[in-house]
Amino acid sequence: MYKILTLFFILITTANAEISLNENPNSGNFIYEQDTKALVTEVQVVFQSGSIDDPKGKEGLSSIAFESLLRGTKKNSKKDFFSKLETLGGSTSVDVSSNRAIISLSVLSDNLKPALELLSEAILSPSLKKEDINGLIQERIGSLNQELANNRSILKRAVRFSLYEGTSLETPPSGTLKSVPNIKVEDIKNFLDAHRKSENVIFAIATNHSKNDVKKVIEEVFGDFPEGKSPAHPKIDLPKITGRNLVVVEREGSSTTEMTISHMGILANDPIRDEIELGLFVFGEDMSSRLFQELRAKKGWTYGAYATQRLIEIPRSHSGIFSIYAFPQSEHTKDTVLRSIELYNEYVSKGLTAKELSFAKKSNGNAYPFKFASSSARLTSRLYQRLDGAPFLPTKEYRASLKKMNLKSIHKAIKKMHDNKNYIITLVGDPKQIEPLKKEIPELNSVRKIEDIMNP
Amino acid sequence: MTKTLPYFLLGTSIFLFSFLSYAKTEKVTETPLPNGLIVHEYKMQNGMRLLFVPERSAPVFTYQVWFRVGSATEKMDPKLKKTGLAHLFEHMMFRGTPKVPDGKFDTILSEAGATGLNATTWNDRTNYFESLPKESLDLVFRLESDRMANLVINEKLFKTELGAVIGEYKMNEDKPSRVAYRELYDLAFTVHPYKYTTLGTLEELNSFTVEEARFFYKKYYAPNNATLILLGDFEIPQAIKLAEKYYGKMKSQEIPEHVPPTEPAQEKLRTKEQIHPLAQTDLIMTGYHIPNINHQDIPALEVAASILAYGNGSYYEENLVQAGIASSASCYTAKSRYPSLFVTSVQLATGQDTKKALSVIEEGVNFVRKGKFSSTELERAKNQYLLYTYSELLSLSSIGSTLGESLMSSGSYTRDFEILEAIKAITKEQVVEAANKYFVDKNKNLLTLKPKAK
Repeated sequence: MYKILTLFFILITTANAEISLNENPNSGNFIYEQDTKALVTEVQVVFQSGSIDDPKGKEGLSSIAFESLLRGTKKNSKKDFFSKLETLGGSTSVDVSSNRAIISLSVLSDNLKPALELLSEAILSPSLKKEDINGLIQERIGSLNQELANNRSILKRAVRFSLYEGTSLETPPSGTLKSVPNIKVEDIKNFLDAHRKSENVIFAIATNHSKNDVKKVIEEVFGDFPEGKSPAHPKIDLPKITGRNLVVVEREGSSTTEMTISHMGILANDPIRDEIELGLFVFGEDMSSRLFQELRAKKGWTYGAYATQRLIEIPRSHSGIFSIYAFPQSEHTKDTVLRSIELYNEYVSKGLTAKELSFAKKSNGNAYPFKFASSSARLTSRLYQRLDGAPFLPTKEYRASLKKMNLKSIHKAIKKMHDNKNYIITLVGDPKQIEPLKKEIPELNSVRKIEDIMNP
Repeated sequence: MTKTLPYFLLGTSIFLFSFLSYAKTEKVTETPLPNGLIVHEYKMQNGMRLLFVPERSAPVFTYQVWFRVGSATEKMDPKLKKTGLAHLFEHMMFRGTPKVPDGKFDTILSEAGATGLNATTWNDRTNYFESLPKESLDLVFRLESDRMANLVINEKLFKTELGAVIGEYKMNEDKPSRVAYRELYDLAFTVHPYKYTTLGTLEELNSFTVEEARFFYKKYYAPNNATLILLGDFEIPQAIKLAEKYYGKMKSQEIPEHVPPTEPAQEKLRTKEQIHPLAQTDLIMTGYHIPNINHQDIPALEVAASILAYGNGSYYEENLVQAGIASSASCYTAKSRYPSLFVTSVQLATGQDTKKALSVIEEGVNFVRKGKFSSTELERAKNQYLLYTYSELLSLSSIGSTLGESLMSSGSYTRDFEILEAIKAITKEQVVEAANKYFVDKNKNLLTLKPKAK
C-alpha cells in the first residue's frame, strides 16, 4: 500500500512539473555556476524573445511586456511585491535586447528560495493592471526623452537605423516616442501568452548553493510554467550598403562629436570569428591598438578610439554591427574622421604585421583564463554560447586554435568580413564642425541628415 | 534581517602582530571579510602598506596601487593651489620611463594578458589597477614600481596628455548630469576644496607646467603615501619578496598633512539655477552637509538613503518615478575623508512640474524625519544596503576597490564593513535623529539644471 501511495505522489508531482532542467550547452535550459564564497546569488531567467519580435508600429512591446511582469502579481500589489522581495535583500531588473529578454534577480544567498518563489509569482501570475501598465509606458516615455540629452545614445540609434532601415532591428528594444504610446494592455497579454513558454526559457544561476538544491527549487517553484514553444523570430533580410555614406544628427553646442564608421558584422558562430576578433584587437580593441595609439596617445584628438563589434547591441545571430568609434573634441572632428578612414583602408588592404600578430596571440592567449575567473564570467560565456552559438572553448583548445592562425589566414578573414568601400559614417555633434567635412570625405556617396531621431 | 557570521567581531579582535615578519616588512593585522577571505596587512620599512587577499579559485590576480592624494590635496598644497593636476598626472603615469619607453607600458601588460588596466582620480586619492594571469606577478611588480619611481615627465608628453584630458573635460561638459554635479558642489562649499572638481577648469589645466608635475610626482608618489592591494592566486611570502625587491629601495618622503579650511556652517538655504544646451528636462539636485566617513551618524544616513532611493520599493522610486513625475531618482551619502554631502538627484519626466517634484522630494525627507516608515521598510532598507555591499565581494577587483576606498577615506580598510555592522543594528530612532540633525533647510543646497528655452 505504501509503495502504491508513493508512486501516486510521484505521478502527481511529475504531472505538475512543466519545467525539467537539463544542461546541454547548445540546447539545455539550465546553466549553473558555483561560487562557494558568494553571499549573493545571481539568477537570470532568460527568454529567447526580444525586440526582433516586436510588430511594426509597436516597437518597444517586448521590452514593456517583460517589464510589466515586475509590476505586481495576482497575490501581491506592486508595492507589496517590491516590499517583500527587497526585504529579503533581493533586487530585480529586466534587460531586453533584440533576441533575448533577461529577468535578473540578485538576492542574499540565504533567502534564495523565498525570493525565487516571488519571482515565479511575478513571471507566471502577473497582475497586468491597466494603471500599472500605463504607468510603465509613461516611465518609458520619460526615459526615451532623456535619451535625447545624451549624444552617445543618439549616435547608437542613428547607426542602428541607418544600417537596418526597414527591418525590425532598425529600432532599439526601448522603442520610440511614436511607437510606445501605441502599446496597449491587450498587446502585452498577447505577447506574453505567445512567448512565456517552457521551451523558450533558460535558467542561469551563479550561487553558493549546490546544483541539486538549486535545480530542485527551480523545478518546484516554476512548476506551472506554460508548456510549449514560442513563435519563430521573423526572418531579417539584411539591407545592403552601397558606397561611403554620411549620416548626421546635428546637436548645436556639443563640445565633442560622437563618431562611428560602421557596416555589418559577423555571426557569433562564424568559423572565422576568432581571426576577426584577433584582428580587431590589434586594430582597435585595446589601449595598445592602432586606433587608440594614433588618435589618442599620439594626436590627443579624442579621449577614446576603438574598433569593435560590441558598441551597438545587435544579436550576433543576426550579423551584429562592426564600428570604428571615437568621440573627438569638436574641433578635431575632421582630422579624426579622415585619419580613421585612412587607418581602416590600411587595415583592410594590408592586414596585420608579423609583430602585431605575435603580440595579439600572446595577449589573447594569456588573457583567456579571465573568462573563467568568476562564476558570473563563466555564466555569461556559457549563456552566450547557448543563445548565439559562440563557442566557449577550454583554455587549452583556444590557445591551440590561436597557434594555427597566421598572417595569411587573418588577412583572408579581414577581407571577407571588413569592407572599406561600403559603409556608413555617423556623426552626432555641432553642425559647424561637421559641415566642412562633407567635402573632404573621399568618394562620398550620400549625405543624410536625421532631423528627429525618435521618428527618423 | 538575514543572519550572517559575526565575521567582523572576529576581525576586529584578531590584530595579530606576527612574529613571522620579514627583514624589512612587518605584519600588522589579519582580518576576515564577510565572505571568509582574509586580508593580510603588512607594512614595509619605507612606510608602504601592503594588503594581501589570497584567493585561488582561478589562476589570476588583481593588482591595485592607491595613493593618498587627489584633487582636494593639490588644492591645499601651497605650491599648487589648483585642481586638475592630480588627474592629469594619472594620465602621465601611462607614458614611460627610461627602461619602459613611451607607449610600452600598456603594450607589455597587454601582451601578458592584462584586463581592466586603468586608473581613477578622486578628491582624496588616486588608484592604478590591472588584473593578470598568475605567471605575470613579477612583471607587474617591476612595471608598477618602475613608473612609481622613474617616470619621464617632459614637455611633449605633458602637452599630448593635456590634449586628452581636455577632451575628457569637454566630454563631461556635454553631459547635463555631470555639469549639475559640479554646480551643486560649487554651491554647497565656499572654502573647502570639495568645492572644485577633479578635472579642474580649462584655465587651470592650461596653466600647469612640467615643473609642477615633477614636484607633484616627487612629493606624493612616495612609498609612505602608497598602498598596494594584491588579490588572487599568489603566495604571501612570494609577494613580500617581490615588494621588497621592487619597492624596498624607494625612500619615504615627508608627506604634509594638509589641513583644509573649515567650511563655515551654512546658515540658510542656498539655491541656484543653471541652463544646459543639451538638457531635455529639469534636473533637480539637493545636497545636505554631512560629516566625514568616520562619524557615527554615517550608518544612519546610509539607511536614510536606502529608504528614499535604493530599490523599486523605495520612497522616491514609488512616488516620483513610478508616479510619472520623474524619469529617475537617486540618493547617496558621500562617504569622504572630510565632511561632504548627502545628495539627491531627480530627473524630471517630460512635461512635469518642477514644483510638484520639489514637493515630493521634501515629502520624502519628512517621511524619514518624522519616522513615518514602518519596521518592514527599515528592514527593507537595511537589506538593500547589505545586498549592495555583499555584491561588491563577488569579484577580486571590486573587493580591492572596497578596501582601497575605505582606507583612503577613513584610514581603515575595514570601515565599510564597520558601517555594515552598525547598519544591521541600527534603530528607527537613530535614523530619525540623524535625519532631523542634517535634513534641515539651513543645511540644504538646491540646484536646478534647466534646458535651454526653445
